[in-house]
Amino acid sequence: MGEIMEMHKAITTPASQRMPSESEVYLFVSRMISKTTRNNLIKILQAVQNRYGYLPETALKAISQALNVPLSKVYGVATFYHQFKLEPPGRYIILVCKGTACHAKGNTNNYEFLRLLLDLDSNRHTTRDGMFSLEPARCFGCCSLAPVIMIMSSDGSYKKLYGHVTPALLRSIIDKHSAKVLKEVTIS
Amino acid sequence: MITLPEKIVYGKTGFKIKVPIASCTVASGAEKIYESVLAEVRSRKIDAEVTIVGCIGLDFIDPWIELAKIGYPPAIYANVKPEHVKRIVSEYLSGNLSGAYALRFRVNDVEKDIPTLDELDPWKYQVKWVSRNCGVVNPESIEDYMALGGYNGLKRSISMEPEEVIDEIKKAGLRGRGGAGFPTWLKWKICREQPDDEKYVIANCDEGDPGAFMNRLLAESDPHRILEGLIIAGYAIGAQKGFIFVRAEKPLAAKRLSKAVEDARMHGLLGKNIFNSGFNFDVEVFLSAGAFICGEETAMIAAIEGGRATPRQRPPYPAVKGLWGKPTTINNVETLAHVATIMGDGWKKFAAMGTEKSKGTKMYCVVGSVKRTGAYEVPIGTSIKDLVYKIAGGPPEGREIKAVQVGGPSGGCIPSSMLDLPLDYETLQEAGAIMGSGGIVVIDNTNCMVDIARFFLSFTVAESCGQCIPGRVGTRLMYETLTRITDGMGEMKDLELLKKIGAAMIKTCLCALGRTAPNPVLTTLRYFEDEYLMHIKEKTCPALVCKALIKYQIDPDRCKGCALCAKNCPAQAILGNPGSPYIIDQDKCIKCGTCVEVCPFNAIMKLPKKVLGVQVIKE
Repeated sequence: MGEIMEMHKAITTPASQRMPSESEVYLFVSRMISKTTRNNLIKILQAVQNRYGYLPETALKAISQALNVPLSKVYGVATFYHQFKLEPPGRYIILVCKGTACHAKGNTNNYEFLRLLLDLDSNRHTTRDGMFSLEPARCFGCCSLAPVIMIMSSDGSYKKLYGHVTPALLRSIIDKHSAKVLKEVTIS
Repeated sequence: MITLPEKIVYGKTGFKIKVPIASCTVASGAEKIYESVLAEVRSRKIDAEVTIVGCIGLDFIDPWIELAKIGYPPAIYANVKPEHVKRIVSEYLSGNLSGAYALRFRVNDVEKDIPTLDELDPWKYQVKWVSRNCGVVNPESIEDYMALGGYNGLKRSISMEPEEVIDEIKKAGLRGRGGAGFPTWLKWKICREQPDDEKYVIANCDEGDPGAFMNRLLAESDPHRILEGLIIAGYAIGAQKGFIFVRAEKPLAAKRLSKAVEDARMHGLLGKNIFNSGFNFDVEVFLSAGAFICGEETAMIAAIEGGRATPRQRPPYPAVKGLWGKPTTINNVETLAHVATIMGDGWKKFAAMGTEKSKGTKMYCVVGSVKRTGAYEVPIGTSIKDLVYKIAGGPPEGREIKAVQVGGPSGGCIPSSMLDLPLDYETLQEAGAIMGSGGIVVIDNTNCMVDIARFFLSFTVAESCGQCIPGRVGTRLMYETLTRITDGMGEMKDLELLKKIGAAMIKTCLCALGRTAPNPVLTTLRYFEDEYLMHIKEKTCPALVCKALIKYQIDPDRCKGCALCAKNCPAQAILGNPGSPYIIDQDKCIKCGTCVEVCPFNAIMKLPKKVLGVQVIKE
């Protein structure tokens, strides 16, 4: 049971923003594998993603070698589940609820609007400047506020939910968060 | 009404303030309320116990708080903001309850103007049975759960023979709450009868239906009830190990279930020789990486084994050959919570509710076009109308209910003319829907039924595991056909095509996800064929939803030339000069509706657009 609590701790600890070195990834993967019972691939991938914020290619290779399973199998599992990301997320992740209530109240339109606004398409989920990632989300369970979006920082330390969103409101939300990042960058 | 022990209501100090911390209330700001309450208690130096509770199910009052001081009635305050806390506390302590939404119960006559929960429509038509503790107990406290009789059901079960437990569940008439309604006792009996020594039991908390959140609510608000049911199931089938399968995307549910498991272990309710009976059982919370298909039993097993969650051919059923090839029982968490309640209270009370074929109560989430969204529990057989109108308050002013979608992506759309239908497994199946997990989405006249069907198919396309051809190609073909229709390019033969693909998928898909995926299309075709015909023959969308069939236009008489729309248009599609009426370039317009929203003069209209270059098909 220590394992799951550790995962929760990992979710709330900041994901590393820098690109991890190959040797570091190999070391981390081997440590996680020794901790996991039955060599459960999903649990190992979750641990890696909690550490780095996504699944670096080196990690997939390291897992494949350490467990002696084909890379295709590791990749197959990594691409099957929604939780896993193969590219690093932006500073802010915008989660657009695609639940039924949110769809009925216009969130599919909002999603398309954001894609256009952020210049994203079906292959690109993160803006070129690494500022925003756009992701569809399943129901947040607050359908009374539909349509809703959530903005969170990639390390999960900042989270804000907006209800009754419209394209005009979305534009101001994006502007506000861009300004915030600019401010953070200039201060640091 | 179950009378609550004083400690649960007023706490150790005689003054308890409850703040709900669950995904839904956190989303509406409950964490800040919690901090404000703590700050207020500290600054006033009052001896109050501030405690977290789960979700009460009345989402429209989120975030709420409950104040209860001995001598005063416990009062619930709705839609609280952090800045309200100071006033609420001082009013309550001075005996002025006028700001309260409702009272948990009355203490004297003084506050007779404030209704009790039992007097309010969204509460009085409910039967809070399996959700009785939600919003009442601290979900992270095993003591709270035990103070309300928790784990008595387990104690009683273990004093009985496993076969007797199975028999009691049979007498109760409990059927699976996860969708198909298979009798729980039978599932257990088959698993028990397998000769293997090693057996597993899995609690399915992989709720993925868009618009359904009752499992999450239960897991976040009363996790011990689920765990107790799981341990009883383990005892009944002869398993040594249980899993709770929950999505990593629902971290709070996972956290509370994990805490429940740890606390139960500390209290000797898990582990070796439980209640000195020789029964050994332990539970692991498994964090799923998220895939809708995991709700299918064999896919869930594949996920716990660590691979891609693809279903396999049944039989053999998991009860015979499941996790790591061993007999396995998979029960929905709501089913397991019912097990705990039945074994605690005895089967008779449960069997006294519901219909002849389906006993007990069921939780439903009512969302969409209603005044009071929330998660409600009613006896099985309650009509859709009672749930949607009496409890959820019907549609908002000016709207009209067109249909209700029951059962999520595997369910169907039931027209408003059929809302008298009772919610039970068989009736819904006859109407083309399914009970599913119990998600009810109310659809009004501003929604297009073809678009709704297309939405559900976009979901199943994304969630299909890709293994069998009817599932993979069938969902995609249906989605493309629907897209053609909503784009105004549909033909009459498309309707036949949809029916044909649907029928083929029902017959040939490997798993239930594929076999039920056509339901949203087939039911809308059955009950709302006229809307399909309007899209195909007239090339119009009556609800003005389908983008290819509408256009936005500026009324030059109303436009004052303020340029607000042009400034906000993300596609730079609005042209003109300040002071004179603007116009929309229809080729550039992406139909996002921003202009309608920002125009202060209501000068922008949404109109039907006849698609050019497509001949209206002659019959």
